[in-house]
Amino acid sequence: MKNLLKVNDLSKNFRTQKVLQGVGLELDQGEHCVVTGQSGSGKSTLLYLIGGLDRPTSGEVCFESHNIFDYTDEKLAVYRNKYLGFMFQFHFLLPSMTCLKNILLPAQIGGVDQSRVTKKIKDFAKYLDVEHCLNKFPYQLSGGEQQRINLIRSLSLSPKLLLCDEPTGNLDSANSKKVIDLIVEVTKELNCALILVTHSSKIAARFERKITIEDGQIIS
Amino acid sequence: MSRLGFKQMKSVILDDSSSKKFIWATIIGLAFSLAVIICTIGLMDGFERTLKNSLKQSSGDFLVTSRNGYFQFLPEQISLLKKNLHIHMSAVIKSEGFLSGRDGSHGVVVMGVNSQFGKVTDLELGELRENEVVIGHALAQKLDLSLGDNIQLALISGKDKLPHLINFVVKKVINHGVYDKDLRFLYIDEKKLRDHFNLRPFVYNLIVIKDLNSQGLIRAKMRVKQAFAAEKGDFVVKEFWEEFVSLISSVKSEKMSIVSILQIIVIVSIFNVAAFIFYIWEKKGKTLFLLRALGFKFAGIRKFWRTIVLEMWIKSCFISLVFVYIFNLVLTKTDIFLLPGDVYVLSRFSLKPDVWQVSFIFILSLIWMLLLSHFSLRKLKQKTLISGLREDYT
Repeated sequence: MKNLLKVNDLSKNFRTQKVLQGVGLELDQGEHCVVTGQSGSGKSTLLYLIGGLDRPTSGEVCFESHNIFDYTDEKLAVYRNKYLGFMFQFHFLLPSMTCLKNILLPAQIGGVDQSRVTKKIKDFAKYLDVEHCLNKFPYQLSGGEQQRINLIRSLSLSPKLLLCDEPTGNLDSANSKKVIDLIVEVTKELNCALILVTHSSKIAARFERKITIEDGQIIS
Repeated sequence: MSRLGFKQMKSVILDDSSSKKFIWATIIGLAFSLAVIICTIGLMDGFERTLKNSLKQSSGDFLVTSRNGYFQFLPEQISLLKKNLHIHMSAVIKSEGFLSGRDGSHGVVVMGVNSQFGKVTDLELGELRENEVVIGHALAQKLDLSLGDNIQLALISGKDKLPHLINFVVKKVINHGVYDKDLRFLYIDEKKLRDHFNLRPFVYNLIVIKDLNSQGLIRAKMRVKQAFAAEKGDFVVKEFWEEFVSLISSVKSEKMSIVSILQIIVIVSIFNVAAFIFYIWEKKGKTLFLLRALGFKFAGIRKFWRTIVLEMWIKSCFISLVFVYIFNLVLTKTDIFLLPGDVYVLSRFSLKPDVWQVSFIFILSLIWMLLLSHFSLRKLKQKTLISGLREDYT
């Protein structure tokens, strides 16, 4: 399989605190990987660095052989919009917009034809059983429904890599399982690579490839 | 710029009613502060301009006197100057006297004028007969005089230096627009005054001039000065407001002091703007960080924010002008704002703010707002997305 992502000797310090130390990682197109570790181990920081949401103290993140930290802020914004999908622990849906409009935000930001995306969104919504939620506001939805809407938004522009940071952190176990099932299923369907950060060993056990971080270093 | 347009961004960032209320409170607060400054400056400019306009209407553009006092100025000289300088010109005999009316007496400036005087000034004196006098309305009010009333004017005689009483009939009561003039100036026939003082023909002590060119008063004064320098008589040319120059200067000084003090109001309103900016950043920080995480370029946020600030500024400026208009209307139309003319020279104030000064005030407030935006945007940019998202979402 074609290599999609290569993380080389990545380090991040916050003042004197070393959050990440010399982390290396490779991910192929469509490959799934789970990152586990204790709270404060640096797993989310790794995810955000891969997502171009922060800049490292040293090291590089090569996406399709290009170091994203050589990009300008403008180009980094395009990288986030075009190639990545984010799923955070909190759903991060804008309360003033309907779910459909929330989902269309990345398309609007990227200047993508919305009618083309809308068709795909409706298919996704049907598949994830939230078709009835599209014209509702986020506060009218349950936690599980909100997270599924969040998943649709993350995948609306068919990203090459989906980054999930504790996507089930505020869901009950039944909804957690459902959301993880959907993430795995949909990303496989789209041949989208996945990095999922979790501290749940139960969720981690479902993935073939598992990375454990401790004190900012990959230990397994 | 991303395709997420300004309107959509606005609906995302300023979607809730508290943000909308805050933005309008800030706009109105800034507008009010701007209006206070414009009104104060406009009031003082209005005083100066109204005073100058009124003086111009009753004195012409220039007053020419001689250091020797009286001088002879022949009709041919007047015709030649009028033709060469393209001006209206009237020679006057000016003196002082004491007017006795029905209700007391008052010291007055007596102007012996001819038919040319009306061309130089905007005063409608009409044709004055030998026994007719035109007085200002303040004088008429003070001495309880009205049209057709008989008055006695005490003038120093040219022969024995003792005052002589001359009878006149009030032909007209006029308004100079300047309280001092309304109280002190009266107009009689030039010939009558000449005969009384036993002056030779064409002897005067004042010439009033109205410039008909449109090159500005400074150039006109230069030309008039040059022309009179060539005449015999050691002439002095003064602008029409010279007799009130100390008052005008004091108003100008006062204006500068007040404008300095009013900077406090500007600072207060700028604090309002700053509060608004910090409120939005605090409240909508997570939305901005989310948009950036989804790929919205920082340049887009910067452009959006500058447009919002510009929109607020334009609205504030417009509303401040409405406030100024309303205040001016109240000031000029309602009786409670009538002034005691003996104190303020003019009987009523009106706002006449200078366009350049108003523009300066507006631009200064915009600079303040843009500076604040610049610093807050810089702070926002310095904050990494990860720290922004973590701070705002956890």
